[in-house]
This record gives sequence, C-alpha cells and structure tokens, in this order.
Amino acid sequence: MPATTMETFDPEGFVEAAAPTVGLTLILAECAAVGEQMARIHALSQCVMDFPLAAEDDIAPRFEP
Amino acid sequence: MNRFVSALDIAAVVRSGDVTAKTIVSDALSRIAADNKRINAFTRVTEADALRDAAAVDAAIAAGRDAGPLAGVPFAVKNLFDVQGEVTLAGSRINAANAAAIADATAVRRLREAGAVLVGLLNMDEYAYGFTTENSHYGATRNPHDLSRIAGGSSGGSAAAVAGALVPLTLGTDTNGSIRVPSALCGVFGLKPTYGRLSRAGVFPFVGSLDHVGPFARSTADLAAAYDAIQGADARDPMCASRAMEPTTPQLGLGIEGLRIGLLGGYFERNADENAWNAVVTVARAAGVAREVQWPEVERARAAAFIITAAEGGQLHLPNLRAQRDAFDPLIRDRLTAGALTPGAWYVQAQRLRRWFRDRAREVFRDVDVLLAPTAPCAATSIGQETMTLRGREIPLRPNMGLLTQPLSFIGLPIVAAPLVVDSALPLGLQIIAPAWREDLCVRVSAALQARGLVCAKPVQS
Repeated sequence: MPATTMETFDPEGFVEAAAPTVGLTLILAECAAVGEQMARIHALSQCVMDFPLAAEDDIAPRFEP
Repeated sequence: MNRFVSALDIAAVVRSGDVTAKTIVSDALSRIAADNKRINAFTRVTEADALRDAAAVDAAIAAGRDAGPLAGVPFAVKNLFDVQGEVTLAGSRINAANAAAIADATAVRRLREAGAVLVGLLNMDEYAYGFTTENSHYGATRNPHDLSRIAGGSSGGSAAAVAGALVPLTLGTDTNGSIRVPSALCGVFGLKPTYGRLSRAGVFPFVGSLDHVGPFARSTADLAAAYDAIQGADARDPMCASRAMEPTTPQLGLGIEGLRIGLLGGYFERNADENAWNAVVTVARAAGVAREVQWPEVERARAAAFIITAAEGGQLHLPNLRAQRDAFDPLIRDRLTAGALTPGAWYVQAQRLRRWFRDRAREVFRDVDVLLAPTAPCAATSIGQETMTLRGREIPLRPNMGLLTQPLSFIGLPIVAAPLVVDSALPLGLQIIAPAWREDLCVRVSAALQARGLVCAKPVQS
C-alpha cells in the first residue's frame, strides 16, 4: 500500500488496491475519479490524525452531545 | 388568504371555524400547481390524500373536537421521510424500486396528530449527500429569489417550498448543514435540534452518527410550534433521548435581556465572504453583542465531520455501489465510493476528536449562553457552478458550502438558522447556537431578533 504522507500518497493507486478488499470492481477511469475524492479525504485526515488526543478521549459507547 | 400567512394564523382561523381546512389546503395545492414548475421543490403532490385529511380536520371541528395546534396547516416533507403508501425516494433512482412505506415516520405522524395536513414530498440531493439540491434524477430545485441559483441542500426542496410560499411548514434533515444551508440561501427559518432530541424513526439514514431532523418555517413562532409538535421520546429510534417535553413556544416573548451572547470569530470569519460576515456583525452589534469568541480547533472538527460522513455514508451504500454503481447520481457516486474505502484508523480518530471537541464546546458555554455565526459562506450560487471564491481563495463549491455548519452539527448542538434582514437581492443567514438541549435559548434569541426587525423571512419578489 502507498505510504500515507501528503508528499507520497497516491490516491488513485490506493483506490485501485483497496477497492477489491470491500468487493468493489472499478475500471481505471473510475479509480481516477474516486481517487480525486480520496485525495480530499486523505488531506483532511492528516489534521485529524496529527492531533494528539489523551488516552481517555476514547469513543463513548454512545455519543452524548 | 394571503399566501404568506403564518402557520399559526392558519391554525387559528381553521380552529375558530372561520375558514375550512379544505379551503386552506386547496389554496396550497393551487399554488403548488402554479409555481412548482418554476421552483421544482416537490417531487410528489399527494392531492387526494391531502383533501381527505383536510376534510377530516373540518369534521373534527364541526363535531366540537380539538383538531390540534396546527389544525389545517399544509406541510410537506423531504422525500426521505416515510409517508404511508408512498415510496421513500431519498432523492435516488435506486430507492424508486422499493415498496411503499407501511407507516409514517414519527415526525410526520406527530405533525399529522397536531392537525397539520401533508400535501407532498420534496426534492433533495441524492441520499442527502450534498449542499445544492442539483439532483440528476429529479432536476435541480431553484431558489425562489433567483431561479438561476441553487436553493442549497440537501433539504433544498424543503427550504424553497417555504420561501416560495407554497406551504408554511416543511420538514428536512441536517447531517452537516442540510437544514441550515438551504435556510440561509432561501431566506427562511430552520431548526436543527440537539443530536438525539427528535426521533429519526422512519427517516432514510445518511450518517447515523450525525443525522438530525427538523422543521422549516417563515417565522420563529411557526418554527417553535412545529418543533414542539414533534418533540418526545421514541423507542423506534435508539438514539432518541428519553427526555421530557421541553416546549419552546413559551420562550418566544422573553427577549434577550440577561443573556450572554457572543459572536464566533476566527474560523467563522475566515470562511465567510465579506457580505456574509459583515451582515452577521451588523446584526450582532444592533443586538448589543460586544463579545467575540474564539473556539479552538474548529478546522480539525470540520475535517473529522467530513471523514465520519464519508466513511458512514460510503459503508451504508456499499451493497448498491457493488451491484448498481451506475444508478447513483454522478455527483455523489465517487464520493460515496471513496468513503467506503476510508481507513478505519481515520474514522476512529475522527470519532475520538468528536468527544474532545464537545468538551471544548462545553467550556466555551461556561462564559456565554448563546453564540452567533454566519450560516453559509456566501449567498446562493448559480446552478451548475463548480467553484466559489472565498477571501481570495478559489475552492470547490459543493463540498464547502457546509464549512460553517459542519463543525457545529459534529457535536450535535441545537441551532436556529435565521434569515438576516439585508439590502441585497439574495438572502444571507445567521446561526443561533446554544448548548446541548437548550433549543429554548435558540428560539428565544431568534424571536427577539425577529421582534427587533433584524431577522425576517425574505419575501419573494414575484
């Protein structure tokens, strides 16, 4: 799988590799189109993944607003 | 009657027997027949059932029975609410093959029990994944203030039907801004309640972690009346809180004296264009709001909401993405597919951030009772427009219309989206944000601003 840094992430390659793992069959043109969307999600994921959260900030069984 | 008459005024004349529900509903059906061709808010008009239900309201009144607080008020619902005997499209072609719903969604049933009369179902972005209601299957809903522009979405039909005075009340849903953005762009009021407040039973899901239902109206009082009618616990929705009814209508006349109100700056200023931001600042000043509040890490909250939306939405539709990919609206197909491939680590971290951000919100609300912010980054854009310019940056339009709404629904806060009184031809919106379970404060502030002439449903120039 491609590395998930902004510099090296290959969204189209990621989609092509990941699609069969959830039972999706995509042609190359579809991989490119989905890759554009995956690039946006990946870019946003970086500022989420980089954020330091304490161990106690775990998922609640039920979110209470 | 005047087409802009309020829902509560309709109920008053129907309850008094001065005007029949059948007359009111017939008038609404005539307006829909005349105007929906231009606006494309409705995907289905339930004329025969509406006239039957109106006759039942009239019969109840003639028999001396209480016909309910919304007696004879025509209403319509986004077409992802179950309506008995109707197919729940959820804006899709795929769901058109489903069987008709066997029961009403809880919110629909409660409005009917309050005496309101359902007249039809409303257009939306496919599966609620969008902010523009440019639906490839059922056409774009057009903004009644400028037919070349979007109504916002995903509850675009719900907002446009109210703005165009086809009906005084509608229901929609809000996952990332889908009640508030169209409210702002169409110049009407919308209420996104606290996450878990209103039952979602019988509503086609989008993102279980973030989905809310709520009403649209042309006044705060109508909004509160509709919201109060659909409150209440419901075992059919496991996320619906077991809370006692907390009516908001009694809050309408309390004013804002004594409330600590702040203006959300920082991220909310940077991601609104000058017109949208300045309009909110003008109203805040006129209301005596002097305090600007900075909220930490809003950008990360928005990013996390985006990831949760993508992952849950993609997962929900994965079976159909495998089996009938081409049947999806091209505007959402690739977004859903990418969402279905989102790594679990991103999703889990986004959910953890949700709790962290909620705790920061609770800290902010120790010093203020209510916060104000712009609703949409700009006024309604043109149908088919791909990008927008925000503070000198050109960005994709469709995923970014919710920049200012998404971080707030992320943690489920109650918000009234109120239409600002502005000189411009196109409406702009204000978010009135309160701590969890304090819809009463949102309604109270909205009513006070409306009484001062600072927010008001923008009349359509015909």
